[in-house]
Amino acid sequence: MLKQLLENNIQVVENIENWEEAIRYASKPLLEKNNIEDRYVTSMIDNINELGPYVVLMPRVAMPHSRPEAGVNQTSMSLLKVGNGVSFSVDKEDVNLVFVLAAGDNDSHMDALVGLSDLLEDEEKIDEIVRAENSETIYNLI
Amino acid sequence: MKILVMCGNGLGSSFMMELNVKKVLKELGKTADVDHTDLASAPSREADIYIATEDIMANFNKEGVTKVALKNIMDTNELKEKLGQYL
Repeated sequence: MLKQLLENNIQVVENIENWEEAIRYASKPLLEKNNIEDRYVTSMIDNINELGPYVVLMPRVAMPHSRPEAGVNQTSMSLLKVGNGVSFSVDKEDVNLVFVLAAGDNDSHMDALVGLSDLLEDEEKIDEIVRAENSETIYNLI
Repeated sequence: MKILVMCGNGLGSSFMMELNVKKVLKELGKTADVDHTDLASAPSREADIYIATEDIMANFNKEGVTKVALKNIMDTNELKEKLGQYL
């Protein structure tokens, strides 16, 4: 389910200016497919500005998201790998993997999150994904 | 016992934490009723223990309840240590 959702939605960059840009860039494949609307991207950023960087799930990994009614047309996910990392907060370690979560309702994304949770428990796998040079390699690792 | 896990929207981070809470309960051989919700509706939900990340917990104003604030959502060792004392 996680892998299916991420198909063709994985991007790789070396550097990105800041966390807001990282969220915008990571959202691009979902915007192009009309899975989400522009306002959903703004909402994810506003969320972090209001409530803090709680979307940083662990060192190196963030999962920005907002509410279904904030502009989600279809449950979807994307991944942006930032080779040199990007800071979401001075209190948190830099983030290399930005998983954008767009939940179309309150439960259709649950299976994917169970998959993501299992993936994030595997530190070696995370190392490999962070080291991977292109989106195809990352897709095959997931 | 009822445990309520909170995050900003009640559908992403809190669900990931709920999965970890269930894992930790199992490891510790404990049972509890675990659910997740968003910060705005959390105060009206009754629970024995409220769990959230530190930044979310700072915005949770319900008094007189047990609160567990986490630095790292995916760190089950931190969760085990902080939640374990209340189980």
